[in-house]
Amino acid sequence: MIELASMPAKTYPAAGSPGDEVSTVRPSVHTVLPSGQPAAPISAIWSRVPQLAELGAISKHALIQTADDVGAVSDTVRSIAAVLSTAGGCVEVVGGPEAASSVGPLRVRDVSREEHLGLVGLGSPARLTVPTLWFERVCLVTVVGLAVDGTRRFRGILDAQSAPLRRLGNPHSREQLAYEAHRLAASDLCVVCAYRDRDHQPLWWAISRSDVELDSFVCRLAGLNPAALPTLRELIRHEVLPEAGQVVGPELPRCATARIRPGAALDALGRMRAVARASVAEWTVIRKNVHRIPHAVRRRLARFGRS
Amino acid sequence: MSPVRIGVIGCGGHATLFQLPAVRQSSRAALVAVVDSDEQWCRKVAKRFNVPQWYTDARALVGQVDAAVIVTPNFTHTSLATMLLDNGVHVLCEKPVCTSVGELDAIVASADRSGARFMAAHCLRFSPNLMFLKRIIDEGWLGEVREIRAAIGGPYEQATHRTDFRRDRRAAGGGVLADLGVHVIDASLWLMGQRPVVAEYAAEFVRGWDVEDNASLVLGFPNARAWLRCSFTEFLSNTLTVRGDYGWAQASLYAASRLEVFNERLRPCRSDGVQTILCDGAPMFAGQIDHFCEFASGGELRVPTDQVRTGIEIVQQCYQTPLLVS
Repeated sequence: MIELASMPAKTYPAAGSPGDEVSTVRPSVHTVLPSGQPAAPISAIWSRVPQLAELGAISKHALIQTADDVGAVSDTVRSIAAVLSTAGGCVEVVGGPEAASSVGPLRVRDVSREEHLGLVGLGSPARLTVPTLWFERVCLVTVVGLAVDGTRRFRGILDAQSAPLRRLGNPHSREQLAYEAHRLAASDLCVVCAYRDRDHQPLWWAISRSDVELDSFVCRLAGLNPAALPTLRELIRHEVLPEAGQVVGPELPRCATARIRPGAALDALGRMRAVARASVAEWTVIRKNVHRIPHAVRRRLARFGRS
Repeated sequence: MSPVRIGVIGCGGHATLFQLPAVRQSSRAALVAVVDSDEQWCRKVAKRFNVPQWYTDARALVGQVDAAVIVTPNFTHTSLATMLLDNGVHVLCEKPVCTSVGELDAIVASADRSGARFMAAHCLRFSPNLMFLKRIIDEGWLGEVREIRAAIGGPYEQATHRTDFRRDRRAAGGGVLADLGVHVIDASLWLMGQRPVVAEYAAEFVRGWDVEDNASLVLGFPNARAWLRCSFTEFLSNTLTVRGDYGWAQASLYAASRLEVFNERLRPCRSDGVQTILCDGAPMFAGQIDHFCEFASGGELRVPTDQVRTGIEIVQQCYQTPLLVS
């Protein structure tokens, strides 16, 4: 269990020298493939991540959630699980049935088969169904994959965090769900695993305590304004993004800026559906109240006449 | 499983607003008869709820129904319940079940003799938000419970009632404490699962009725206290709040689907403050009837008789206490 009081304050390594470990002003970036040498085991990386060691020390129960089942991401999940379980803690993976085959012996918790709760959503007035496991006293780690040289647009930590909400069939738009997940169940540790698209070889990992910081960081690495990421654009409606610092990190060619975006049409359709639902709800309210307008005008005119 | 044939005794405001619609809607119950001493009114209610039989005497239900719901003025509860139980009819009796522990013992003895089953109608135990509250207390979401605060009531004139028996000590067996206070007393006993002592009791007779119309009560549990208020004169919050070591939860007693929770250890509260949980489940009266049918068919009872007895003892003890305010 996480004892919140004993949780250390956020600390980030100071700007360091480029090489096998590249530090930035905010999220730390680690790589095990320095300048074309053969890959070192992934587990070697975690000894250099103080945040993970701290979590492992204070948490007896950890949940790792991921929306990807690519080899590099699954390897990352397994190696993080190994670190977290060394202190005798219980580690489980949150995902769909497909996750079971990729994470080996780890127990997979499918939120669609578990108990859930209704909450009053903030970003949207509709009822928000959330997994009860969000109310458990656990440490939450989110791992996402980032295909470099690929054609897939980066979805990010915020999007991966909202996967349980999508699995529970919430009717909100993808961006709204990403905000609700950030609001209600922001991860204790976020990991982006960049991998080469052609052979799924891991390239580097960016790690942060903050989901927003990490998504903003990856956007900036790709030379994008963070507000270009739909999930961050939604978040800006409710929160102020962290200040842009100096971004130092590996190159991110053609990843987040890819022009071909399978699924973009579906996203647009989802947004249109959300707008349509909101319009119907608003129209219902307008229809209920429109008959009051003439009376209100008459009352005001009468008051004006009296005065 | 065939539905339980139910007769409802008493067709006043509470029956027509809550119990009859609940029995009507339940898939486990078949509403076969209504009983009321006012023949004309009884016939009208039977027609409105499409009930095949109506009677002016509860004894006519024997042999016609499997179970009965007693929704009559309080002073009639014991005699009706013992008569029905002696004749093998299962009984769901509105609160307050009776006005003394001796009467409750007589009812339980009748049930034991005949094998028929008796349940007290403490409807808050079937309210979805309070059921969820009980669950999170048991699961330790709030830590150890230290305090319960509950307030129930509103102006008497604004509540629906056909008769004014609640103003009459003989007919009601007590005032607002016996009528509304028992709800929050029972809820406290249920949520805490412990036997309390009466630490303080105060009552007011604002309108000069025969019975108290405002009452406040403090129950002392081993590690917690419950501050309970009930009123026939003013709008109270009609909420029940539980505070534990790590947080608190507040349930509305009437908007039965909402529960507000704050606990610094729960992730959603930690990052976003108080959360309003929307609880699913049948409305409390429907849930109560479903549970009664299940209990009448041999299921377990969720309203333990020893807690009902403790509730009656608390009310009795309060009425024997010299009043602090009058």
